[in-house]
Amino acid sequence: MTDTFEKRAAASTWSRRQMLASSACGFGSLAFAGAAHAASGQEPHHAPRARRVIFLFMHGGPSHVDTFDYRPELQKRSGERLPFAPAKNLDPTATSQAKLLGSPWVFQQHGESGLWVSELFPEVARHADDLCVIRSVQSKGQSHGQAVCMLHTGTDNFVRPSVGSWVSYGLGTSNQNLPTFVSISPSAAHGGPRNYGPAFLPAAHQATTIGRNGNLPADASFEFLTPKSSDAVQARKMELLLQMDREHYQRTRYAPVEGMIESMEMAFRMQSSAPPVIDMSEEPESVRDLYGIGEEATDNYGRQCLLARRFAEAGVRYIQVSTPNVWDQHSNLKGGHEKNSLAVDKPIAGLLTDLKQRGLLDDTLVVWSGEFGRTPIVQGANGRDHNPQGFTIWMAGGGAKGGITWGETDEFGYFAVRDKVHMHDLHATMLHLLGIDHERLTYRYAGRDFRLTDVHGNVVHGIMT
Amino acid sequence: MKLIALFNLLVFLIAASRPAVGIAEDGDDFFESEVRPILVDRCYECHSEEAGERSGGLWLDRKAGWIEGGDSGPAIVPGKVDASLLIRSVRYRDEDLQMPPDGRLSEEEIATIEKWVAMGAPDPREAEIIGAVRREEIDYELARQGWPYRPHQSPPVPAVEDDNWSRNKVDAFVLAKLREKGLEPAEDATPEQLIRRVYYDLTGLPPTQDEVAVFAADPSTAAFAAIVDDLLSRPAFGEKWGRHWLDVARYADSNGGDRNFTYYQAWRYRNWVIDAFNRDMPWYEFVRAQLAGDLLPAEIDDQRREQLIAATFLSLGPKMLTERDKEKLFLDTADEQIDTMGRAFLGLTLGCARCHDHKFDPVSQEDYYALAGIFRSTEVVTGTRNGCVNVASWIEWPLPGPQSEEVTTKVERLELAMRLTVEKSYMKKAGGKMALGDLPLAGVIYDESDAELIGNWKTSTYSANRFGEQYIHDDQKSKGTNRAIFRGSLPESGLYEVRVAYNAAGNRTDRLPVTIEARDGAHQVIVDETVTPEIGGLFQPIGRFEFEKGGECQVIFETTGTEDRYVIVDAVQFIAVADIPREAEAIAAVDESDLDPLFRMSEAELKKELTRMIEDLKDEEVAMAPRDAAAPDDCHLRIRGEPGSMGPKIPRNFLRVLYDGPTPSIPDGQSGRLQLADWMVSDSNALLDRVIVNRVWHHLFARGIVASVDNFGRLGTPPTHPELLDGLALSFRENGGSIKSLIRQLVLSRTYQLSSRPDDELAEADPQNQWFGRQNRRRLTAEEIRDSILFFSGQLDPEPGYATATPQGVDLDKPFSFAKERKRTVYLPVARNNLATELAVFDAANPDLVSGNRAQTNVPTQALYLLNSDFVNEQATALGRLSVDKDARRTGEPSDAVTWLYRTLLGRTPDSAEAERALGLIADLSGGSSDRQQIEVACGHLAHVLLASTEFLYLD
Repeated sequence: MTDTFEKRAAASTWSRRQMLASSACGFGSLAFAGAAHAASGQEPHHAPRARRVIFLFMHGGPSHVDTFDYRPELQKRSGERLPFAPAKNLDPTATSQAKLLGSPWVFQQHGESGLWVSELFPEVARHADDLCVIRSVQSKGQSHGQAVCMLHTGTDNFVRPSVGSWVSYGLGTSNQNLPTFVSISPSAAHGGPRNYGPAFLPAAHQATTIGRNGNLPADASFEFLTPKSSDAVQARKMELLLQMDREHYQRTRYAPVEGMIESMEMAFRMQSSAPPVIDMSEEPESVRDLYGIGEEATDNYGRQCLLARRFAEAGVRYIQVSTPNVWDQHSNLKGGHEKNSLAVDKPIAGLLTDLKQRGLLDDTLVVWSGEFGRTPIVQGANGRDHNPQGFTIWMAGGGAKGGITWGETDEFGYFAVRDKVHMHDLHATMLHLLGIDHERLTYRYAGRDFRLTDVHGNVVHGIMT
Repeated sequence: MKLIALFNLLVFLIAASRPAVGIAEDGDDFFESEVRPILVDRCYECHSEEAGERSGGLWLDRKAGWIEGGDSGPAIVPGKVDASLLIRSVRYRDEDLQMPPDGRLSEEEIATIEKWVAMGAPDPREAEIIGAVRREEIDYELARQGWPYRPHQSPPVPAVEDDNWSRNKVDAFVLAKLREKGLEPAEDATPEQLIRRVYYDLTGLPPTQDEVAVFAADPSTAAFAAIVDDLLSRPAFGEKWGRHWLDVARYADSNGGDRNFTYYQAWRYRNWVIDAFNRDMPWYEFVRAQLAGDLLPAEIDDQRREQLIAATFLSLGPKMLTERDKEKLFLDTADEQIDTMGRAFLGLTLGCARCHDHKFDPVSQEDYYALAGIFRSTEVVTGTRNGCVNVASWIEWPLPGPQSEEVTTKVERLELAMRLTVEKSYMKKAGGKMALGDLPLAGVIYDESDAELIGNWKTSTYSANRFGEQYIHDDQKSKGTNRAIFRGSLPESGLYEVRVAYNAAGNRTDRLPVTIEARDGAHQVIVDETVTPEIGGLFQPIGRFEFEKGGECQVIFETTGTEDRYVIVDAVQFIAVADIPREAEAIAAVDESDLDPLFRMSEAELKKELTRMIEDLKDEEVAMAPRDAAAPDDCHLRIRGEPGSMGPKIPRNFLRVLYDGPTPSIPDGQSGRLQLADWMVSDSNALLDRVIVNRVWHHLFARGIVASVDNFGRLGTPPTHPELLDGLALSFRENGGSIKSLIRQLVLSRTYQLSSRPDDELAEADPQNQWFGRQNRRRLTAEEIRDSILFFSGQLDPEPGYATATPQGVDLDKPFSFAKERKRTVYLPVARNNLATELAVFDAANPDLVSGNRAQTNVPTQALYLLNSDFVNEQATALGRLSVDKDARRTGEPSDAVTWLYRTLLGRTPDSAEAERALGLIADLSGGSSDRQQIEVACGHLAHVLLASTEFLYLD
C-alpha cells in the first residue's frame, strides 16, 4: 500500500518539483501568498560573493577591549580617570567614577597578518589570517532590548523584518525542501521572535527555529515534523486528501487552493528530507572532535555550529547560531568572559576549519557579533557596562578580506573614531556580499517602501576581497 | 572632568580679557591656507555641488551654504564657537551629531576650525545657493478637497435601466459600475454556501447540520433576513467582530518589545470591545472612549469604569521598556500612539511625519508634532516594573466600585514603592546613601566620602548632627586651594533642588562659595554656615537647577574668601522638585510614627516588595489606562526625529488636512486629548466614517472598496466605488454610527449573496474582483479554524472568558499552550513575542502592528500543523468516535459516519463517488474489520482528512 501510494505521489508531483528546482524560485513565492504578495526570489542585483550567511550571535555583548580590540593605552592607564566624558545613559556606577579598567587578559599577535587577539580566543586566533576584524562598529541602543533589535532588524524601537527574513525575501531558497532561514536556539528575550520574524514581509520569510535560548537539546527538531501515524497510514490519508483538494481546485479554480496543495506536498516531503539534515549522529568522530562535541564546556555550542554547517551544506540561506544571554558582565568580567569564551572558542574555530575543508568558506559569510561591546571604564568593582559607541565584530569567508582590521576606536576603545561602521553599514555590506543592493531590496507596506537599512547604510567596500 | 571644566573657564576668562585671536591675521588668507583644505578633503564629498551631494540639506562649498544651513539650521554662528553646529559636529562629543561620519578630524584640524569660527568665519566663497531645496509647502486648501479628506458627500443612487437584480442601494451602485464595465454579476450562491458564509462572517462559527437543512428547505429572502437578525443578536457576533477591531487596536496580553511583561489587565479592554459590538455602541462613543476615556465625565461608577477600560487602547502598544533615555522612551511611546490612532481611525500613516514631512500625504512634520504635544503630555509609562531603574512600568487605574478605596491605596503605594526603588537603587549605584537617623529623605545623597577632595581636609565626628559617619572641615587652613567636588548622577532629567549638609555654628563661614554645574552651565551660590539648615537641621536648600540624565552634574565647594572661619562639608542632596512634597509629608509623619514602612526599606527589600505588590494587584479591579501628565505642554519638533535635536515648539493642534479652525484652546494642565477625541468624532470628520465603513465592507467582501484598508493616503489604493463609499459613510453617520445596521444592510444586499464562482468572461475581465461581480473566497481565520473544530466535536465552551493569564498562573513570556482550553480563541492569551502556535500558523494578526487586513499566506508549516499537531489529531480522533457513537444516535455504520462527517465538517452531503472513496479509506485503515474500535479509528482518520482539506479551510 505504501509503495504504490508513494510512487503515485512522487509521480504526481514530479513535474512541479522539477519546475521549482529550475526556476530559482523562493520558498515564499512557491508558497502562493494570497493577500501578502510574496515577491520573493528576486535575481541578485550583482554577482554575489557569498551564497549564505552563518551569523554567530554572542548574546549579552562580549567586551571588544578584552577580545579583538587591543588598546595598549587602556592597559597602561588602567585605574586612571577617563579623560573625556563617558557616553550618556550609562549606569551611574560607571559614570560617576569613569575609571579605566585595563583588560585582565594578555593580547598577542597571530598569523602572518599579525592580528591581535586576546588569550580568550586561542582557537579562533589560529584562523587570524581568515578574520576580517571590524573594530569601529557603532550601534543604537544602550540597553539589550534596543541593541539586540538593532542588530537583527536594523531598528532599535520599531517593528521591522529581521535580516534573515530580508535575505530570504531577497534570494529565496536553494533547497525547496528546507526553510530558507533557520535560527538555532534563538533567545526568547529581548524581542524574541522579532529578531527572526518577518514583521510585514510574508510569513514564509520567518525563521524556522530549532532549540531555544542558546540551548540545543540532543533531540531537537522543527515543530510538527514528526508524523503521528505510520508512513503507510499517512500515505493512504494523503492520497485521499490530495484527491479531494484537487477536485476542490477543479471546482473553484482558486489559486490559494492550489497553493495549499503545494504546501501539503512540500510538508509531506519535509517530513522525510529535514530529519536527516538535523540528525548529526552519522558525523564521524574526527568532525565531532573538531567542534568540541562531547566535551562538557563546548558540547552545546559545538552541536549548534555543526548543525549550522549541515544546514549551510543543505542549502539554507541564513543560519543564525545564538549563545545564551551570558555575555553581560556588569560584574565578574574575568570569570564570566573566561567561561563564555571557552564555550564558543573551539566550536567556532571548528566551524571555520570544517567549512574551509569542505570548500564552503569561500561562499559562506561567517559573522561573529554581540549586540554591543563593553565600556573600557569599570562598572562596580569588576564589570563593564554596555557600549554601542564603538565595538568589534568579525567576519570570515564569503568575500570578506582575511587577516585585516578595519576602523579604530579611540585609544581606550570607547568611541569608534576612524572608518566607522554603523550597524546599517554592516547590514548593507552583508547584503552586498550576498549580491543584494540594500537600496533596491524594498517592500511596500503601509504606504511606504521599506528597506533593511531604512534611509541609511554605506557598503564598506574596503573589507572585501 | 572638573579640572577640564575649570580649565575651560580659565581659558574663556583669558580669552575674554584680550582681543579676539584672529584680528591680527588676514581672515581670508587663514581660510584659504588652513580651513579650505580641510573642508575640501573631509566635507565636500557629501556637502558640495561638485560632488552633487547635499547631505542634510547642507552645503559647505560656499559661504551662503553654512549661513543658511541644512535641516538642523545654520551650521556656523560667526564668532560663537560653542553655539555653532559645525563645531559640535566635529568635536564628536554628541552621540547624535558626529561629522565627518567616517572618522574624527585630528585635534589640530578641529582647533583650526574652532579658531576660524572664533575669528568670525571669514569666507571669500561667494557662490549663491542655487536650486535651493526649499520645502514644498503643503496646500491644505487643495488637499482638503481630496476624496479621503473632504466633508460628507451625498451622491445620488444611480438609476440602472432594467434593473430587476438589485435588492437595495448598495446593489444599485455595484450594478451601475458593472454595467459601465460591460459586465454582469455572477449567479447567486447556493443556500448551503450562503448560510455557511453568513454564519462564519457574522459569528466566526459554522451552522449546525439542522440550521443548514432548515435554510435549504426555505432559502427565501425573508428567511435569510431572519437568520441575519438572529446572528446579529448572538454573543458570538461580538466575539467575531470584536476580534476584527482587536486586530486594528494591536491588542495583546503582553508587552512584547524588549521586556515581555504580562498585561494582566488588558483582557478588560478586550471584553469591553466585544461587549460594545454586541450592544451596537455608537461608533463615535466607541472611538471617543478609546482616545480619552480617562478624561470623560461620568455620571455613574459603571460608566466611569467602562471609560477607563476603553482608554486601555492607548496603553496597549509594545514598548521598549528598558530604554535608558527616558525622553526617547516617552517620544517613542507617543509615536506609537499617534501612528496607531492614525491608521486605526483615519487610515493615515502619521508616523511617517515624525522625521520629515510626509512624502506623499498632506501631513507635515509640524502636524505630527502638534499631535505629539498631546500624546507627549499623556503619561503611559512610569516607574519601574522590576526594581531596575532602566526598566519602566505603566500606569494603572483603580476601577470604581465597592473595593475601590482599598485598590486605590494599593495602586498609590505601588507608585510610591516604584519611586523609592528608583531612588534607592540609583543612590546605591551612585555611591550615595539614604539615612539620616529616622528622616526619610528623598532623591540622591552623596556623603563627603564620595567627593573628590583637593587640598587638606580634616575629618571630624565632633558634632553628632551629621550625615553618615563623619564630616570634614578645612581647619581654617589652605584657604583658596581646598576644594571638594561632588559628582552626581541622576536617574532622570529634570528640575532638582540641591541641598548641602553642614552643622551650623557661629565659627563657620558665612560666605562659602558653592558652584553648581548644571545643564545650562555653572551657577555660584554663597552659603552661610552660621545659619541652621531648614531640613532636619542639617540639609540646606541652595537652589533649583535643571540637570540632564548622564549630563553635567557637579557641586563644588571652594574656600576662597572664607578666611578665619571654618568651612564644613558633610553631604550633598539632589531631590527632584516633584518629590519635595512627598518627602515633607514623610518627614512630618515620622514624629507621628505612622510612616509607611516602605520608607524604611532597603533597596533589596523594596524590590521584593515591588514584586509582591505587582503580583497582588494583577487580579484586582484595575485598568491599564493612561493619564494626563503632570505638566502638559507643547512639544518641540525634533529634527530628523532625533529626540536630542530640538526644533521649534509646535502648538498642539488637530490634523490640518482635516481641520482648518484655529488651534484648539487647551486649558492649562490638560493634554488636549479630550479635545482631540471630541474633534475626531465630530460630524466634520468624514474620514472617520469612510475608514470604518470600508473596514466593515472589507470583512464581508474580503476586499475593501479601498483595498488598502489601513491606508487611505496616496500610496494606498483608491476606492473602486467612491460614490458608494461616500453614500455608506453618510448613512452610517446619519444612523448614529450603528455597526449592526451597516452589516445588516450589506449582507442583505444581493451583492453579498453572489456565488464566488464567476463565469469565464467575468473571471477574465475582473480577475481581482474589484467590481464585486461575485463574492470573494477567503480562508478561515486562525480563530475560526480552532473554534470550528471544537464546535464540531461538541467541546467548545460558549461562555465568555475573562483574565487570560492569571487563571492559569501563566507568565505569558513563558511557553504556554491552548491544549486544555475550550473557550473561544478570542478569549485566549495573545502574547507578543510568544504567540500561540494556533494563532501564528494561520496568520492571526501580528499584535505589534495595526492589522486591518490579515495576511493570508500559504506555507508548509500550516500543512505540517494540520497533519501532525496534537490538537488536530486528537480532535479528529474525537470526531471519529462521535461519528459512530450510538449514544449520539448514530448507527455505527461506516456509510452513516461518512455522511455525518461531511455534513458536520463541510456543511454538505457527499456525492456517491466521494462517499465511496471515503468508505474505501475506512475499509483500508480498519483492515476491512467490522471491529467497532477499528472503524472508529478509521473514521477518525477520515475526519482528519476532511479537517485538513481545502474545502474546510476556504469559505465559498
